[in-house]
Amino acid sequence: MAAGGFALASLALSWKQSQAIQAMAGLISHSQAVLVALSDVDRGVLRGDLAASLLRLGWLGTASTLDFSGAVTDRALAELQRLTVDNASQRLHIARLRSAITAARLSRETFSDRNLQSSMAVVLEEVKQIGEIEHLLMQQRGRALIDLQRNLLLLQAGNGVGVLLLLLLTAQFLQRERRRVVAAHGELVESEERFRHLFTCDTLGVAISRPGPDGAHPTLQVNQALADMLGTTRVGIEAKGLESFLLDDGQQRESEALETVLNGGQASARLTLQLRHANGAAVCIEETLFVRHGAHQEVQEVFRVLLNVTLVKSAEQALLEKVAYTRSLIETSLDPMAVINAAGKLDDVNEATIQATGLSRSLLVGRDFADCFTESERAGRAYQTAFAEGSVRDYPLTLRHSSGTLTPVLYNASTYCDASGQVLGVYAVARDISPIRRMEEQLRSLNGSLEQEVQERTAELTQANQELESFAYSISHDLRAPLRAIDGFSLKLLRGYGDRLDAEGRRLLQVVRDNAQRMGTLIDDLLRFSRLGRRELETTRVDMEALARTMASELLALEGDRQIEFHCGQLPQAQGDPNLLREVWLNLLSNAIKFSRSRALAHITVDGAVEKSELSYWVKDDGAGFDMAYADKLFGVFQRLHRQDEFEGSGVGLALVQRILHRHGGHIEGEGHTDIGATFRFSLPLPPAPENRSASGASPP
Amino acid sequence: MTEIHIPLQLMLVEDNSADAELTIDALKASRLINNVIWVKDGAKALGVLLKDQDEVQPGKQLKLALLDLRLPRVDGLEVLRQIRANPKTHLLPVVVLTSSQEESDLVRAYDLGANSYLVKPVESEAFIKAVTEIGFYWMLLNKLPGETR
Repeated sequence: MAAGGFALASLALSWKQSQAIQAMAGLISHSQAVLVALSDVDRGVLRGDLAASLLRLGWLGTASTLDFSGAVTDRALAELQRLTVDNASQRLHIARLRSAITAARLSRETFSDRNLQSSMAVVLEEVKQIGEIEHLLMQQRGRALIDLQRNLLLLQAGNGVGVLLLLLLTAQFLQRERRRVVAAHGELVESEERFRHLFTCDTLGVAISRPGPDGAHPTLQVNQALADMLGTTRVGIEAKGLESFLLDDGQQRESEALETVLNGGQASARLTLQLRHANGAAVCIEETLFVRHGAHQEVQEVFRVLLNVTLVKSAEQALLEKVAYTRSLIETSLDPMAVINAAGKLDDVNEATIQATGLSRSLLVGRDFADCFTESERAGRAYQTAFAEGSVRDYPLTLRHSSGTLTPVLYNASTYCDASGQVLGVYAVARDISPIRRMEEQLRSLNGSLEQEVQERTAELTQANQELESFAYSISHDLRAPLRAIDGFSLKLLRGYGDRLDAEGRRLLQVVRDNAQRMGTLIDDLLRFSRLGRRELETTRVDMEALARTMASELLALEGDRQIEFHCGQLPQAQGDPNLLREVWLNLLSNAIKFSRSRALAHITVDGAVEKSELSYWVKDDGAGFDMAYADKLFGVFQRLHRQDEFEGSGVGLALVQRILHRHGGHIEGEGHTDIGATFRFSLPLPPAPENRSASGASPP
Repeated sequence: MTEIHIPLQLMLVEDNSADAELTIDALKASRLINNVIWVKDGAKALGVLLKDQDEVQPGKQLKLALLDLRLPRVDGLEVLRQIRANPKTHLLPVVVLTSSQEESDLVRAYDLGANSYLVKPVESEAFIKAVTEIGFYWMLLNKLPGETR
């Protein structure tokens, strides 16, 4: 009974023990589940980080991987949380882990590398902590299980039933455990497969090294992608070590980064390195470096994930160069340029703006555009106009330099938009117009002095004219009086004493009289020439044909019995002073009559035409003509081509005609042939009104 | 030619004695004038016309003044102006007889009330003819207010 009681007690004890063992085994498997979940989190996070890095480098195919990793991580985290709901310490770490993961994702989205790195460090640290706690827990539980099993074995001796029961229970437990392990193994295999897949991916180079005894990290294994990247074999890299392919200061930088990671400063390091390709070229690599720790914090393996970014880098370099080129153009511009945002603040300026305002770039950016000018209100309107209308052209403003110097500028501005056409701001360029202003000023001052000079000259000219006038007045009055006396008293002598002189004496007196009279004519002509030259032009529409016909008939009437055939064509109307134009006709017609008097029947023709840019008139006779060799003397004052006893005249007529025509803006020329005739052709400007009488159709001879 | 019985007066204002002699010769040759008052400058002319009543009685016997323009002391235009400004003489016919062909002289002379303007010809026959015709017209043909004849 006692034995039975003992056995019962023992059985009870055994049952209790087996209950404890079962519980302990449950706890161990719980810990294992925690570790599996934890490793899922770890893998998910690392894979997410990697995928994100790749994505940033332009590997768009990894976007789905990133999402997948995020989902895996979240599922594993939820599982972890569920499993550790009764463990306060683990819950704290898991909460930290979760927030660190969230922070890392946020940093990744905002491209904040520094935050990402620190968040990732926290993630890895927390994973490590949770793992360690759980490992410790599992070790304790394992030891407790061993103790419990040993106790049970002791009891076994006393109680077969208990043992049997225990064995049964143990077997059941083991079976359950095996199933669990097999399941875990399947999971592991799948995970292995995933990583192998990643390892054999042909775009991502991977190198794994393991810390050696001397602190070195010899390369243990590299993948084919890396070998391809460097144009060599996997064995080649594994033998020489990846380090030997690094160019420049790559080795040093990499070992520094590794040092940081190993010392726990950060979970991973990312650096850009130049590696030597087998063909001698440099390969630009973006390397992510991270470490796998063992259960006891010891470094298990160093992972390098390498991505060939040579193309990206060269494209980036080209882009940078292009950007730098564009920027240098903007900076080189001598015109101040600025970008103004919708609030009227300067977003960007070039060197010329700095020079023009005397303010540093940092002072300018963010400053009110309008504040750079003397009239800030008008300047404000300038960019508002540009915003409202899309552009503003040659808007005059005055730039204010910090030293107080003012620069007159013309502003040209137009809006710039984003791809969707949304106006982002105004691009404004100022053109310094102070040189133009200076030139304008100089021009004004030159004009002023010119004006003054003109006034002075005009005054001098007026003075000279007045002197000339008084001279002419003197001539007309004072010179003519003695001539009149010479002639008058010669006549008186002839009349009173003519009977006492012989024929020669009387002839001599007559010569005196003739010359006195001739001189009187000369003086009169000269005065007329002077007077007509000085007279104000009183222009009006002049019927040239009527004028010519009238003058001709008056002159012809004086010729008595001479045979003159006069022909007058249709003459275009002119704009001029009728009194002066009458002088022109008078002189030309009387010359024609005078010089053709040797002809028994003289022919005088007057005609005219409207030319392209002027009116043209001509008087043609078949008289004595002249030698063209002396044509240049035709229009000189007192210049005569004929002897006085052949043709009388003072030599003033044609000079007077030329002077009148010049004053009208016209000109005259003569063409003659000795004993054949002469043609005098003169022109006048076209009248302002278009209502010309149509041209006669005749052409100038 | 008609014999003139009524003594008619003519004032010649002329500083050039040659011109004056030729003028007086011409007037006398035409037998129109036998009483010419010849003064050699403007001041003298004004003195005779406006102050001294001894030599002439304007409006009664003085029928004409022949006035040169360029005169010493007071020039012809000023003489003309004062003749016209004075009520005693303002109706006296004044013929400007001068060498000046200046448009400005012509305009000013007519502005001031000259009755006629003649430019002395250099050619003597023409000069004599002109003076004769002036005399004939103004001394014989022309009628002044208040004349009984």
